[in-house]
Amino acid sequence: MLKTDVAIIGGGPAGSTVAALLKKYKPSLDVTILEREKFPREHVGESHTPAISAILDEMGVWDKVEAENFPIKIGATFKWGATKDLWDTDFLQGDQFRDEPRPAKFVDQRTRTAFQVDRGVYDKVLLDHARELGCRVLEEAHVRSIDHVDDSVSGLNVTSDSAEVREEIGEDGRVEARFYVDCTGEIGILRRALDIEIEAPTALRNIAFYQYWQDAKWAVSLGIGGTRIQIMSLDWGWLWFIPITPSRTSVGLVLPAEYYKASGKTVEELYHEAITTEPLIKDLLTTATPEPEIYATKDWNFVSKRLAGKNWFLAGDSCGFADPILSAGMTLAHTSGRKAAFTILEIMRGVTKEQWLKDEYEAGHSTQIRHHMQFADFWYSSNGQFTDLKEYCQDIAETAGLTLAPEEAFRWLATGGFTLDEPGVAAALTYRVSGLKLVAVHLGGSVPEWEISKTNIWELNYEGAKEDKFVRYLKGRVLPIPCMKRGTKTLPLIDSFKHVVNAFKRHSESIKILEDSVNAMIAQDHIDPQDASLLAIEAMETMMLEGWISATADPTKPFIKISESEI
Amino acid sequence: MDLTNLIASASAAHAAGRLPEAARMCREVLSVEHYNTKAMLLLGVIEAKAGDPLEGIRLLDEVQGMEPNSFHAPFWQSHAYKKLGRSIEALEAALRANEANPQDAQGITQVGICYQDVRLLNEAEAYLRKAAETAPSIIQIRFNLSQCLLMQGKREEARETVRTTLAASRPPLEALLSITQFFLTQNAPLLAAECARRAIELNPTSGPAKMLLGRSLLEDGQPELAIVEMEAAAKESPLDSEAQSMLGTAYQGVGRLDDAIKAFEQSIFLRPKFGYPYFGIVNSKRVTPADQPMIDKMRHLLEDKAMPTKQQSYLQYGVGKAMEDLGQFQASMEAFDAANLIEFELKFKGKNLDRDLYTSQLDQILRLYSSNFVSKNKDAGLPSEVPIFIVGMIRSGTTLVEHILSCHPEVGVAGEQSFWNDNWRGCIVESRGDLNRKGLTDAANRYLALLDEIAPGKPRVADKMPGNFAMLGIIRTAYPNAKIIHVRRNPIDTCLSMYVTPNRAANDTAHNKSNIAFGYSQYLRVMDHWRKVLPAEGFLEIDYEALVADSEAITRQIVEFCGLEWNELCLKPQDSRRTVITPSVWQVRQPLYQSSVERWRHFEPWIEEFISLSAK
Repeated sequence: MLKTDVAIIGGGPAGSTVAALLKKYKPSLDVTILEREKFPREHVGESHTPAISAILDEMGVWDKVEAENFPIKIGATFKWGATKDLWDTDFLQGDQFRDEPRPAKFVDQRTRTAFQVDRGVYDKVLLDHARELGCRVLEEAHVRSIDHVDDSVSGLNVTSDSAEVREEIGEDGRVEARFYVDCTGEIGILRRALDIEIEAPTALRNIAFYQYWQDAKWAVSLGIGGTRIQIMSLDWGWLWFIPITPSRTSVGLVLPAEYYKASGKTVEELYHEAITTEPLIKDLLTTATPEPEIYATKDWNFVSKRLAGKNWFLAGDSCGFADPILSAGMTLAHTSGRKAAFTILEIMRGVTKEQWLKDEYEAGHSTQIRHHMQFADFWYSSNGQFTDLKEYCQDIAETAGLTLAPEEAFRWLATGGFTLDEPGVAAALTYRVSGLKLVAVHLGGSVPEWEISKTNIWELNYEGAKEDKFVRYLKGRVLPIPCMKRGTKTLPLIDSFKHVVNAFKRHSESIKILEDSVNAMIAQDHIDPQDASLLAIEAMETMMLEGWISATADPTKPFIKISESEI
Repeated sequence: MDLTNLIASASAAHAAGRLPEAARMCREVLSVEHYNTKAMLLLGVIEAKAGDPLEGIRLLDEVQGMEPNSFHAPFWQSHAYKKLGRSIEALEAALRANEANPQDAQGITQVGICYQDVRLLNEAEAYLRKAAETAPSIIQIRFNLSQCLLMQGKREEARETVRTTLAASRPPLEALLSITQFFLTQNAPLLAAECARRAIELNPTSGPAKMLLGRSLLEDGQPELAIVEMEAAAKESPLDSEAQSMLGTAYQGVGRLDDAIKAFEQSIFLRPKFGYPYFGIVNSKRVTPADQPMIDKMRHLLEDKAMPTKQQSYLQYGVGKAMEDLGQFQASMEAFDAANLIEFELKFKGKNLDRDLYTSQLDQILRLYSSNFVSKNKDAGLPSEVPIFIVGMIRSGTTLVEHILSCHPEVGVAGEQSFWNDNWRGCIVESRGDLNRKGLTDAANRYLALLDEIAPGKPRVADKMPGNFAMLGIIRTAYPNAKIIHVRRNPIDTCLSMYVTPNRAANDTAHNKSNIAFGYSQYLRVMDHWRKVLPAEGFLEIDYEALVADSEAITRQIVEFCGLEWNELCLKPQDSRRTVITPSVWQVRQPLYQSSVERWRHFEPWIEEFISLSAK
C-alpha cells in the first residue's frame, strides 16, 4: 500500500498544476500523481490565455515551456459576428509585440502573452516538472476503482503494467491519502464513483473534428514566434487554426452534433468541405501536409453539481466543460488546479474554516465555468455568419434568456459577474470590461454605450446586501477579503472597488467620484495615472451593471464621457 | 473621538505597552468600520503578541487579503505560529514578510530563527548573518547566530561570536545574567558559560554569575570545574538557597552524594518553603523509615497553596520516590500522578498530544529511509569508526551503557548530542526525498569535529542521545562503519520509569500514561523499520535486564562489538567520576541496578496502559 498526503488522479495540466503548487508552497508534503498513460500522448486543447502564463510562472515551469519554442499567442483573429470582416483581439491591447529573442523571460510584454501548445510535449514538460519538484509521478498507473464511505474517499485501487509502479504501490495496489484530487478530465473517475450529478445550463451541443498539419503557413507572424489563432465562421460551424509548434498546426472543425447527424456525411467529408470552403484556411493549408488521423471529440458543455467534499476535490475538466470557442478549457484547468491546491494548503493550515474554503472553491469555480458557457452562448447566438444554424442559435439564445440587442446582451453578460474572476479587477475570462465592450462592437455591429455615461448623480445601493467574505488566492494562501453580497452578486471591497466605494462617502457627482477614486489609486496604490482612470471607469461600470449604484441624471451637472481612445 | 484619532491613540497605547487598552480601542474602531486595515492589523499584532495567537493569525490573514504586500501582517503571523509551535507555518509567514520587505533586519532575523526551528541550519545561518550585517547594533541577532552555529556543531565559531559580541559592549549584570539563562534554556551551556564569564569579568564578586557559570559548566559536562565555581558562588552568596541547591546537584552529578545532601539541607535551611532541595535529597539516597520527619515536612509543604507549581511538582516526585523506597506503592503512585498532572499542565497547557501529527512525522522519516534509499546511498558517508551511538527509549538504560563504555580508556563520551536531530534536514532534499550528498558530508565532518573537541584524540566517542533512535537512517548513511547500540528494556519498566522521573527535556508524549504508552509503541514501530532496512552489521541490540542480570557477559559483548580490547574497568561503572546529569543520576551510582528490573510489579494496579504494551 502506498500512503501519501495528496493523491492526484490524472497527470494532465490540472493535475500537474495541483501537484507543482502543493510542492512549491509546502515541500514537505508527499504528493502522488497517478497517470493512466505513458507520456507523451496526444491531446486536444491547445490554446492558452495570459492567465495561464502567470500560473506557469508561479509553478516555476514557464521557462521550460518557453524553451520548447511553442508559438506565442498574441491574440485571436475572428471571422465572427455582424459582418464577414476579420477582426482581432489582442492581449497587448494596442501595444506592439516587440521583437525579442527566444527563449525570453517572463517579464514585460511576455507577461501579457500566452502560448499555443502541442499538448503531447506540453503536458510532459509539466508532468516532468512536478516530478522534479519531488512529486511521486506514477505513469501507467490505472485507477480501477475508488473506495468511499459516504462522502469520504478511503482509498484507490490501482493496477499497472509497470514494475516500477507496482513496487511503489505494493502488492495490493492500494493508495491512501489525506486528500484526493480528480484531474481525470471528462472521465471524472472520482465524480462518477461518488455519483455526483452534472448539469448542462446551455443548449450548446457541439462536436469537433480535428487534424494536425505539417508546414502550414501562419496567418500572421508577429515579432519573433508570435501569432494569433484563427477562428473562422462557416455557414454551419467554425474552424480553428492553431499553430502549436513552429511547423505543426492544429486545424479543427466545430459544429452542432445535430447538424452532423442530419448531414449524412462522414467526418472526413465534413472536415474536407470545411477546410476547402473557408478561403483563408484553405490558403494557409495549400502547401501543408496532413498527418494521417482525423480525431473526433464531443464538446458537451456540463458543470458538476459539486466540486469538493469531505476529503476530495475536482479540478480541470472533471469539474465541467465549456465550449472551446473562448479557449476556456486550459484556462479552467490551470486556474482550478491552482485554487484546489491553495485550498488544500489552507485547510492544512487549519486557521480558516474548512467548509468555507471548500464552499468558496466550489462556488467560485463553478461560477467561472458557467460564465464561460454564458459567453459561449453569447458568442454563438450573436454570430450572423451561421446562416445554416439560425434555429440552433435561436435555441441557444432562448435557453440562455438572451436577447440580441448589443447593450442588453452586454448587460446580460455581466450577470455572470465581472467582479469574480480576479478580485479587485473588473474583468471576466481574462477580458477586461473595456476590452469586452470592443468585442461586443464586432459581435453586435454597434457600440454598446457605457452605463456610467447615462447618469451623473449617484449613491451606493446596498439595499438587501450584507457584508461577507470573498476569497483572494495568493501565493499558496486563500485569504478572506471583505465584500458585499446580494443574491449572486459580489462586490469585493478591495483595490479599485474599494477606492470607488470610498469615493462615494465624499461625493455624489459621478465626475467627482471618478476623480476621487483615480487620485486614491495613484496616491495609495501607486498606480500609473492612465491605468488608474481605466480601472476606475471599469470598476464603476461594473458596479453600475451589477446594481451597486443607484443613479439619476441632472442635466445641469457634467457627465462622464468616454471616448474610444481612452480605452 | 473620530476613527483616525482613535487609531492613533490605540497605536500610542500599544507603543507604551498598554495592550488591553490598545486592543479595546481597535475593537471600537472595527465596530464602526469593519474593515479598517490599520485597526485590524494592530489588533492582530496584539493578539499575536499577547492574546490568542490563532485569533491573531485570523485577523492578520484578513489584513493580507486586503493588503497583499503587507510586511507586518505576515511578520506577526510568523510570531503567532511560532508561539503555537507550528514551525513550518511560522517559516512560511516569515518568508512572506521578508519578500514584502527584504531589507528589514527583524524580518530577516525572523526567517533565520524559523529556519533554525525547522532545522534547516544552513539557510538559518545565512539569514542570521545577513541580519547581523544589516543591523550590527542589535546584539540579540548575534546571539541567535551563535546558537545556530552551535547547533551545527561549530562550537568554536559560536563561542567566538558570543565572545566578540560581549567584548564589544558592557551590558549591565542583569542583562548578562538573563542572556546566560536564555542560553541555558536553549540547551546551549557552552554559550551560557561565555556570557557568565563576561558577567564575572565585569562584576568579579557576583555570586549569581558564578553560580550560572557553574551550572553552565555542569551542563556542558565539566563537573569538576563547575563545582569550583559553585563553591565560590556559595561563598560569595552564603544566604542564597538556590546556590546551595545547584551545588547539591553538581555534587550529585559527580557522585558526591553525601556532599550533595549537605548542600540540599543547607538550601532548605535558607529557604524552607521550596521543593527542589527535598527532591534532591530523596534522590541522593535510599529513603528509610528514619526519614519520616522529612517526608512529613514535604507533605506539609504540599498543603501550602502559595508554593509555585513547579516546586509542588518536585515535592510530589520526591514523595513518590520516598514512598516507593518505603514500600508504600499506592501512596507513591498517587504522588507521581499528582506530579505528572502538574507537569502536563505546565508543559502542554491543557492541549493533549496530536497523535496523528506525531505519527505522520514519524511516517515521513520512515518513508524517506526506505530500503531503496539506504542501498542507493550506502557509499555516501564517511568511513570513520569513531562515533558510537547508544539509542533506545528514554529511561531504558542508555545512560548505564554509556557509563560502562566511558570507563574504557579508549572511549570518550559526548553525552547527549542533539546534533543529528538538528542537522538531518540539511542532509536531505526533503521535497524529493533524496540525499543531499554535500549536506551529508558537511554534517558528518562537523559532527566528527565536534566529537573530537569534546573528547580529543579518543578512538571511540559515545553519543547516548536516546532520541537518535529516530535518526538511525541518516546516522547509518553518514557513518556506515559506526557502531550503533540499541538498548532495549521491558516496556512496562521503561514507561513506568518515564512516568516517575522528572525530565527537563520531556518529549511530547510525556506526563500522561496513555501518551507514554502510545509514544512507546511508535518507538517500536520505528525500530522495526530499521531492522528491516538497515544492514545488520554494526548494529547491536542488548537488553537492559540481561545487562543487569549478567553484567560481565553483556559488558564484554558491548566492548567487543565496539572493536575494543577488553578492560576490567568497564565492570565498575559506579567508580567512574564522570558527571551524570540525566535523571538516571542515582541509579548509575549504585552497583548495577537490579531493583529497576520488574519494578513495575509493585505498581501493577495503576499502570494498565503500560501493561497492555507488553501484550503487543
